[in-house]
Amino acid sequence: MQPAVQFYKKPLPSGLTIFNCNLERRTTPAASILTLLNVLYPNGSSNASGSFVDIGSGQGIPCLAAALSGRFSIAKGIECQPKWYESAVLLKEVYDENQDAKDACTLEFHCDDATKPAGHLEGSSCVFLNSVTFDAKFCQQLGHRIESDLAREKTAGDDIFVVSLSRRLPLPSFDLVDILRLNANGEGMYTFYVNRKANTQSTFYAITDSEIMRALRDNDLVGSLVAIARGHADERLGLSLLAALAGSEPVVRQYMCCPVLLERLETSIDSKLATLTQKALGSMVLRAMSDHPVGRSAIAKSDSLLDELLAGISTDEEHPALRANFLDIFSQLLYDSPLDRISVELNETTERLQEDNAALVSDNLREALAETIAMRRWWDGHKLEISNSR
Amino acid sequence: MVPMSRTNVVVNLAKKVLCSAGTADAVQAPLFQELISAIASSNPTPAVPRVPPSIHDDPRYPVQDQKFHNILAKSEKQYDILAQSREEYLTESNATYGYVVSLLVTIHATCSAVL
Repeated sequence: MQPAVQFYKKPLPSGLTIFNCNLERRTTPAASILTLLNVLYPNGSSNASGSFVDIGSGQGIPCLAAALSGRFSIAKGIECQPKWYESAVLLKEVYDENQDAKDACTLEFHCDDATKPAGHLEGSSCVFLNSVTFDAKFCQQLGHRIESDLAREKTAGDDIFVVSLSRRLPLPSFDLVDILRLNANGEGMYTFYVNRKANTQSTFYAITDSEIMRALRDNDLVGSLVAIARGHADERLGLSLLAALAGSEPVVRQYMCCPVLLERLETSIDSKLATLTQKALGSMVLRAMSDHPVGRSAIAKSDSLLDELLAGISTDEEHPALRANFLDIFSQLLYDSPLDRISVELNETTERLQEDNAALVSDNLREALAETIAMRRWWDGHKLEISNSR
Repeated sequence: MVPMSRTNVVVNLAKKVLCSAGTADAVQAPLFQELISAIASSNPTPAVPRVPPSIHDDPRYPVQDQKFHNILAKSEKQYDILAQSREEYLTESNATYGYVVSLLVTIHATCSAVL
């Protein structure tokens, strides 16, 4: 053991309360991390060449548990708060004295901002975030950082997992493969969202993926079906098939390989040219796509598609059910993206519509309006209050 | 004869739709509608979070847990030492501060007496 004087030379943590609290109480307990890893790597399979990264690692408990699991060559914690980082370093120093554990996995901690491009995530096979206290903007920044850093790892032979608590991060190239309930933060059960980037065939499938959908993909039929649906003479059938297929997250990712598809959907909801049926079906496809981060990302990046959606919301001549559908799509987009360009315009439109009670002929529209405004305010930093009263 | 699974039926249906792609739409429509219905009804309902099997059933867990708590216990001792050192530092600082103040008072008193 290193002499205690080594610690005295370091800057003292600013808060003394840390010394009185149980280390495990306000973090993810080791048992939850080990349970999670058992789910991610079933049947004792391991990924000893990969690394476990904890973003917002706090006092380092999850990293220590991952290091002791024997599944990783590196367990790395990134923490921006110096006082927590200092605590984690103490844990690492004790861990390093245990030669058995040290041989199995390297434990390291960095006092850094995880949203900055520092290369901490490169080579990761499992990224963990106790994101309970992360706000929407920070989640979006982290999502972009993870997407960017792990894009280079696409050729690696193993799956990459990203696990977040309480909310799913905007990760267009990842599938949601599991939702778990585990103890965390000393307050009971929390929801763990398990996202996976597929690099190999494995037993994990997107939870939105039915057996039939997987069979269609395994037989290379989805691409051909999309092509036929896109160009079918009977638009009702074509768009209906696209909406049915869009229930699956991996299929929506496959949609992105067909850039003309978005143009086709844009035409289908054209406020001037499309018929009511076309708009209804086109909005159903977009609504199904917006359930997934990959679909939300694609819609949010298309300025012309956003303009068409906004035009549909803004006009009083549009059918209320369609406007509700468009607003639902927008509320989904706001979950991941700030949409700065049109946020002010959308704000004015939704508030005007809500004030104009005569225009609210549909409960669905009223609900959609309320949800859109709530999501936008939440994005702006307001507390999101959930109430049964209307 | 082995009955075909529902999945195989839908895959065959999709293949039929693709094969008939060049034919009149009137022929395709019933197949299309059947395929749409089969795919839409196959989409899973929204997932409910599940509680995974207990870690306590894993034979590796007791060893991992023992190692974990050994390290944690040592680390907590380090925290205690650090906390104690801070308290001693503050106590020493207070003592030093008190000494300096008393010295100043003495000097002041001495100077006052001389003057």
